[in-house]
Amino acid sequence: MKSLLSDLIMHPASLAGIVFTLILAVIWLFVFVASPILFTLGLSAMFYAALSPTVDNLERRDVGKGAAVSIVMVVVVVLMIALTALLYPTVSQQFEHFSARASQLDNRILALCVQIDTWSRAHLGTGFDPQVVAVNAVQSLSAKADATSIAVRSYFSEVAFSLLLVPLVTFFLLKDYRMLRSDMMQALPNRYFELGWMVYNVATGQLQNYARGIFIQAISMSLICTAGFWLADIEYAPVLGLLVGLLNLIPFFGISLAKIPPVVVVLLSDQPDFISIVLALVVVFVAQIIDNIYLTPNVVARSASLHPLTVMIGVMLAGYYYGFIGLIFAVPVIFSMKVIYLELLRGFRHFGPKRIS
Amino acid sequence: MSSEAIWMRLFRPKVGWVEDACSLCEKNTLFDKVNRKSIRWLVTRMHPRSYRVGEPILDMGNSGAGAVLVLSGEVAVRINGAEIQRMHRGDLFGEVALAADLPRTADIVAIEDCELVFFLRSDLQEWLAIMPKEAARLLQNLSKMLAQRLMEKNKLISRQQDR
Repeated sequence: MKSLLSDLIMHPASLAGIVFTLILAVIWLFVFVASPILFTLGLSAMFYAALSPTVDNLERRDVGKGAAVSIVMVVVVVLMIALTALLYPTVSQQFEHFSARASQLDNRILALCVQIDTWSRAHLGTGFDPQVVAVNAVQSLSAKADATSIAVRSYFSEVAFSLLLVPLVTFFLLKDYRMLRSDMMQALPNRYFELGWMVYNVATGQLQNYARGIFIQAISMSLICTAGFWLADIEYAPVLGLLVGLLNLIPFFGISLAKIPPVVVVLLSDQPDFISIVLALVVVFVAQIIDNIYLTPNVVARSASLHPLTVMIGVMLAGYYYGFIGLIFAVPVIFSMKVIYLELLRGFRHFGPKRIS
Repeated sequence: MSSEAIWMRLFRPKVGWVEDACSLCEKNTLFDKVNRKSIRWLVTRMHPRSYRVGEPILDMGNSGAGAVLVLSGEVAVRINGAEIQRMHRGDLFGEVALAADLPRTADIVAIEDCELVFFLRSDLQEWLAIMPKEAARLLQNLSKMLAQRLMEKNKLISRQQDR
């Protein structure tokens, strides 16, 4: 009986499960403690991933580590300040313009409904009550817009707060991350030292590929949508493109969410018409077809083979508990958990139960 | 070592061993013609570990993550329980794992308390990305060492077949 229990515990799947649970507990504790600065850390990690090849490149040219990191950070901070100074007046002007128009949303929807009703009565011989349809549309749209606006506003206020800390954290990550990582790995017992590094290297390699895939997908979708909105003569094309690119990252629900911002912008334009709404929807639809046919299968899905039900439940729960950020990060987090568990299992199998016991 | 507390491993001073490991690497054929500055850069990224007498270091059949340099102490190389070689300060073993993720071909056990330094495949890959010319020299040396070992094995097999 004792031997059976011992065999059960020493089985690679059980060992992987125990270590995985411990890792999850440590991560959960870290997330709990670091929750006020979690976004800052995440953003800094993204900057670290983007900038470390440049630091390596400078090191290759015989520049010292400290000097290389300082040069890169000074350039990035100066660029960010310059970009903010350049973009802030335009963005703030457009935001005020947009807010002023938002107050006339119900009138614009009513005008559009009257336009469609007139066309329908003239060509199809049937119509509807534009007043009733407009009131319903405004109610439904404003509920969705309120929720989206609260989520997006909290998201961007966090970004604004983080912008102060991000350069500092990124600087230290670029300078000392490898040393910190080695020091953490030193905590492993001798027997699991090589296994720990192998699991770490394979898991981070896969996660990097996945993150790169997601990044390429978001950028491509943003560019396609920006170009489409610009060709369709829809206002705020770059901002809309970026927003649709981000919303498209949310599995299942992103497809419908991504259609809301362009439709709202068309409705708030000087001359909202039915053709522009159709064009806006066509742009998002075409971008999503390109995403489904080319980007997702070639760039993302190869690295993240998750079951649709897992993704759906994960996204719903993450959205419920963590809002907009939860929706965006649900799949990467589920994927990370899957990779870590599978790599632990593979590692323990390679090390063999005989050796570990 | 296995009973050593985590915080002892985390906060162990590591300045001392770097110079020592650098001078040992310089004398090793694997680092032939690699300049001192690059060796030092690489050594600072290596991983020192301490082993108690009798503690297994590498197990035959397990995947290997990298090579190991003996800083102090003595280790025994065993195949199926039979000791075939002993290694001392300055010796490097397990270097096949620098080239590929292949199973270890022997058991290595500490026969004295020892200080070892792990040089991992991931460290080499990182070095290859940052200093490709210097890393290429090391890879050339590694391929020479592995080719030499293959020739020795071939000779041994042909001698056994002749008998």
